[in-house]
Amino acid sequence: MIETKLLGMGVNIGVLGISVVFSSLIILLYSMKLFVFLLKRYGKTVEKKAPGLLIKGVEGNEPLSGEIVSAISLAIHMSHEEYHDLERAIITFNRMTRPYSPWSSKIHAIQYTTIDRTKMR
Amino acid sequence: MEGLLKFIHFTGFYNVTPGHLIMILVGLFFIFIAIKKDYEPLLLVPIGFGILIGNIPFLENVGLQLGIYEDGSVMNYLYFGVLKGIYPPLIFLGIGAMTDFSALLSNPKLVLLGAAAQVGIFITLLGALALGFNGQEAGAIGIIGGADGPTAIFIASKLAPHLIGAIAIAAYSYMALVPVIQPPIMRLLTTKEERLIHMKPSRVVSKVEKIVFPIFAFMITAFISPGSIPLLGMLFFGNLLKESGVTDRLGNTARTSLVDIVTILLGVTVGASTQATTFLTPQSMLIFLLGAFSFMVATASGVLFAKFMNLFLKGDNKINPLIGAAGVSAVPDSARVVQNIGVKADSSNYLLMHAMGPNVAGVIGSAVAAGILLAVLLG
Repeated sequence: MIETKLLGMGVNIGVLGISVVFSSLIILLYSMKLFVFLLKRYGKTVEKKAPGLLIKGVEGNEPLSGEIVSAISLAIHMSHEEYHDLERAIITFNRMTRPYSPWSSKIHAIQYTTIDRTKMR
Repeated sequence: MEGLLKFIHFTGFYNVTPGHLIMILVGLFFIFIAIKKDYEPLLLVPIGFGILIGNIPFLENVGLQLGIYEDGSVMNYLYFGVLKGIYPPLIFLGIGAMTDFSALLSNPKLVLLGAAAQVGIFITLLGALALGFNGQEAGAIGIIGGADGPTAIFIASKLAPHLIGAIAIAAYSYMALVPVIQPPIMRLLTTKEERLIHMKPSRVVSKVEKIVFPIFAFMITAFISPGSIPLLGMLFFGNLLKESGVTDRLGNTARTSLVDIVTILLGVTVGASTQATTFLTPQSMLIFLLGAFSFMVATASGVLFAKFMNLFLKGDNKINPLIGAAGVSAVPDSARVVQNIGVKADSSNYLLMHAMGPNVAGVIGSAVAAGILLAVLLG
């Protein structure tokens, strides 16, 4: 008996809950639609205020094409992931040890040319 | 010698029970799936480690003040934020400061999908009542179906504080398992043709709309369901900080440092609240089962409602029913799942932005549902 009463209460709460959730979100939906409508009708458009700021080809409510959206997404993604050509500004000095070899010897790479120091003055 | 024996009695090895070991394994499992599988690591690592903290056995009730349930212990003080429902609104502040509502504003009808997925909450409530939980406990368990951890904790702290550990762990575990739970249901309830539906690109949303929305939305939802004021108030306040353009510093703090600090405290204390002696009960197991059920029902009702909406929509206004699954709030995981399933069906079909609409609507819907439960079950 108590269980049936409890379940009845549960059904009531369920019906009430779902109705309230739906109605509050529907009211929200329509109030935002109304606001957008009023904004379009009476609000100053961005174009009137600052025509230079508008991007050519992208009108106020015109949907963006898939290409534009994907290009913007890629740019944002690359920016967030730092896929750019800057290198880390950390300089490290690694000691290079290389066995001596006449083939890599610096002395053999120097040209033995005489410098006329009189011309340098 | 007596001192040594006394010390041995205080050690974890002496006081360990099979329950402690089981919970330690659960904690390790959470940490493992967070690190290895990358499932909600920001939540599961703190919760997993919290479980370890809460389940190291020690001699209880001798004045050590160590356990989370012992008055005066450090963990007990930190747990105060969970018990009194302080952390969830702060998390919502951060979520608000992170959330972009433009996906919802550009296609407002998707808000209905966020409402439809809340059916899971109320069906689970019925299930919990049928399994013998009382009204308040059933309400707290049902909210797991909202797929919103902070909301679940907030409601549990008000309606059934003794179940808060199990409810929080169930809510967060299933949120982490969204990529596992949702796809089979989504595939089962949709046909190949439906999964291929391409949706119209979203319209551009003006800055004025974005600024006005949090104020409008808060006023409307709070007037209808005042029980949701702590959650929705902070959510929309955070969003206003983000969108107003004049409070960047506050918005930035809310979405970074603040939310990180609260997440750490919430995760660790919720984890620690699963002390084996109080957590491992048949009730907790039932809560886990009901939690899984509620996630499935919420996903299914979102998808089915999207199909129902399609009966009234024509041409390119039709919606891909997969996005209905994003109506469970789990932001943004369920939207990501929708994107993945959509791309698998058609590699050129990007549903992520469309799915974000029902996803954020789900957050609002679950908070409204929470307010209703508080009003009806506490009043």
